[in-house]
Amino acid sequence: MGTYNSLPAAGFGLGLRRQHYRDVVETQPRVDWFEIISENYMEAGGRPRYYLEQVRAHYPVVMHGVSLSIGSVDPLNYDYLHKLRDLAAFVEPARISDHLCWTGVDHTNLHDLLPLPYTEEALQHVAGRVSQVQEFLGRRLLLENVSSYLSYAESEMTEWDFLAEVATRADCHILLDVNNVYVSAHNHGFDPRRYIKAMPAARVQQIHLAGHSVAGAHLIDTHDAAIVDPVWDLYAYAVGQLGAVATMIERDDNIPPLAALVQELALARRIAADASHECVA
Amino acid sequence: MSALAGLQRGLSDFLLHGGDGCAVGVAAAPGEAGTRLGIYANAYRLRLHEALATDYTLLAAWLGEARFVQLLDEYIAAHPSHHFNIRWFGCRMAEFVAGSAPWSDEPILADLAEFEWAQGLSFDAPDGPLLEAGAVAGLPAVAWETLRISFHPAVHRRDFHWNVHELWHALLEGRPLPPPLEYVVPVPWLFWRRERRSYYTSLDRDAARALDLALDGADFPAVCMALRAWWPDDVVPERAASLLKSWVNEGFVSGICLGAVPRGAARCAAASFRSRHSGEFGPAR
Ligand SMILES: [Fe+2]
Repeated sequence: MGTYNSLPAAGFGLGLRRQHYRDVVETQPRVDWFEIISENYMEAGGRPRYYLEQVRAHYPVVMHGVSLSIGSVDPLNYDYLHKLRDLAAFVEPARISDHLCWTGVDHTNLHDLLPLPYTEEALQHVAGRVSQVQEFLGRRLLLENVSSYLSYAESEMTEWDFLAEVATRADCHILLDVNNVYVSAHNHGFDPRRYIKAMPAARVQQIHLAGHSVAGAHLIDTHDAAIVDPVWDLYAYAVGQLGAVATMIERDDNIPPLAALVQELALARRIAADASHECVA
Repeated sequence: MSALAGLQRGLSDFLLHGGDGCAVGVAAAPGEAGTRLGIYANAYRLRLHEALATDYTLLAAWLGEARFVQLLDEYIAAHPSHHFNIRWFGCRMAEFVAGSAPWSDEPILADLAEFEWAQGLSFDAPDGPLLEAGAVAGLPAVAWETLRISFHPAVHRRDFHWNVHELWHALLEGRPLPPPLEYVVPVPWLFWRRERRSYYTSLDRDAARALDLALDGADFPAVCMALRAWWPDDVVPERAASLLKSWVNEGFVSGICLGAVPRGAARCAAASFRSRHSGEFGPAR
């Protein structure tokens, strides 16, 4: 697959949320690009579509989906893929991403990013489907690691080996969610740096940062709070390992004013700059 | 069945129907698998609750927290999601409360659900062209004989048996909900969108009948015929023309088309009609 005729969307971005539509358009904050949830704009006209057009006029926009269900044993949903491709034709995103997970089976949607067993069978299944989707879209997909709260007895390899191998076999890119690595590392008791170290650097094309919450012994990926210090540390480590990767903050709940997120993004800029500097020195 | 399929069906079954989740094969210390599965079970329920609570604020206000939560749990159990987009998960709520005890004992519930759902449909319906005001003024007389209207995708017609709009206004303004009133005859309402704002209005009965026919693809003479139930023959053309003009002016209409409808086409859509037929007055931007 060749290069794409779209805006680069490098630097530091934010997830576009409806609470910020007007602020974004009227104040045009210092954000390098925005990420949309693809499903929210696939069929919609009216206000969502209008603001997407407005934001698109001023910023690069990348597309992030939650419904591809790349790991499901159901057939690929071509109704969904057609809508995704149509939206991409309109947005001209630098990146299209979804999650390394499954979201339902037997045509029932569970609307959650459910973890896969890390087996050779699942690996072949996912890699094959990623290739089909990339063929259909005519471009590479980014797959994101999800937060998980359980693992399966039948898993044969680590999540990081599984993700890296899917990316290699399917020739796709990776969206590394540093908070998800942190949350899963806590929940499953592995070293998050091992995970990041195992990532094929050239394939990691985007990073997600987010806040999470604590539920008893486990961490839950709620995107409802500020990013915590250990996740910032892990981000610095990731930048050291992977170089300057396009980075954004996801906030989906308890959404603060836009200015607060722009400020949090400034912290990401500083940390990334320091980490790159240390890396060179 | 492959191992992967078995695992996915096991977890799906657990989330949809509960149980011990043993079939999932969770790797965990003794006694811990239930906690881990429970996180997913909670998340599943909460996510769907959240979607429905966003769609049905009026129903929530009417029922109160405890009964609303009970309703949501029953709805989730009865109607698992079959659409990839959670936006559509609540699409059967009005039907559900109308048809399932104990909710069906309170007929106002279906109206409360429908009133808010219809607004949602208008709010983010796909965009469409709008016929310019005055576009029908210059039509030659012969054109009216085959004229059909294609409506903007945000236009939705509903009948309500209860004064739900009054309850809705009270909710918006943070007032206590007024007492429910059942109409002797259901009142027709229309929902639409203009300039990204959603609107709704009640309709005169003749206008509602004419709109229903036109939305269904009837041509102008058929609409006129129906209006004879309300108006003397010599007044009907004038009433029909003024209705059409008001629909165009209000922004209900995407386009008009002229000529016989091709066999099998139930409705006349502005865009497709324009490409396939000559001699029509296509949608105006
Ligand atoms: Fe993420």
